[in-house]
Amino acid sequence: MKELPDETERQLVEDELPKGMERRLVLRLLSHWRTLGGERVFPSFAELEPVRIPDMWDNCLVLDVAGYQDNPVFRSIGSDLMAYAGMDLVNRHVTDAPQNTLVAVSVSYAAEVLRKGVPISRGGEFFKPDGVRVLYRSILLPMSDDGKTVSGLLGAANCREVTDDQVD
Amino acid sequence: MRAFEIHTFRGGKWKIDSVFDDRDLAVFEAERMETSRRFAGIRVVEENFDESTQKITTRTIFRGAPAVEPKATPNAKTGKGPATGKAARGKADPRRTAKRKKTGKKKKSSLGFLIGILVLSICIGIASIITLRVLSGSI
Repeated sequence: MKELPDETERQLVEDELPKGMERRLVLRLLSHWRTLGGERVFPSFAELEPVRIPDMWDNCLVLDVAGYQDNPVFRSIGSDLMAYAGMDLVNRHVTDAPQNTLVAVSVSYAAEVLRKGVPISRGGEFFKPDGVRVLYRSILLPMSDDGKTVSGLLGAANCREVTDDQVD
Repeated sequence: MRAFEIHTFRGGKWKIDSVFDDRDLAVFEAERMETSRRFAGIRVVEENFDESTQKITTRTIFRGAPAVEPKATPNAKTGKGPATGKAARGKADPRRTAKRKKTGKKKKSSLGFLIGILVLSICIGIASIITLRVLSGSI
């Protein structure tokens, strides 16, 4: 390995997550969803406590599908996701989400999740209005208040902007 | 279009657990689920949809090691094993059926062994009595 000059500035990078914890947001939330559900097919929103997932909640969203199967409604959006949306989408339909935003791509496959009744994770890329390429990974998880029918979706997404010098 | 489905074996059949569009993520999650030992079987199935032919091809890209099946607990009232419905009998695991037959044969052989010991003991007893009478008669 090449020797670096003594005056090179060294910055310690500290992990935000405890050692050994899964780093990927979608898998952490999926694991939490499985824990909430236990032996049941779907967990209930009544058991979902944001204070128990402080490391994920800012990247989470909740969709209400009861009565809104064709066009679910946002009931909650984490602050980090909201920042990417550029507008308050709470109590708005998914079709109101601005195109080419993290929120819009994260809920684009909600119909498939409702049809299959299982968690689905999608990733990909989109371009912001300023032309910046964004890589994202998201997940939507079915929830049920009666244990049988899906009443809503819990979702999470995070992303990374790719600048020109990072193109692979 | 490609999708990677995690399937779990529960209640005698395979069911879709979750779907990913990333192979490494699906396999990683399947391996993690396997360590929990909650499922009798786990597999990852790759689905490819060919838009030109409108056909879907599937192949299993990961198959976890089967977990140990929980033992059936006896019914409290009858003392027998749990009742199984017609559907369950139709889908019975042949390995379990073979095991039940083997257990039956083993019970029969041990019973025969005990009967044999009993008969032998009776014969020895009778022989001893006769011998004693003959000896007492001769003395």
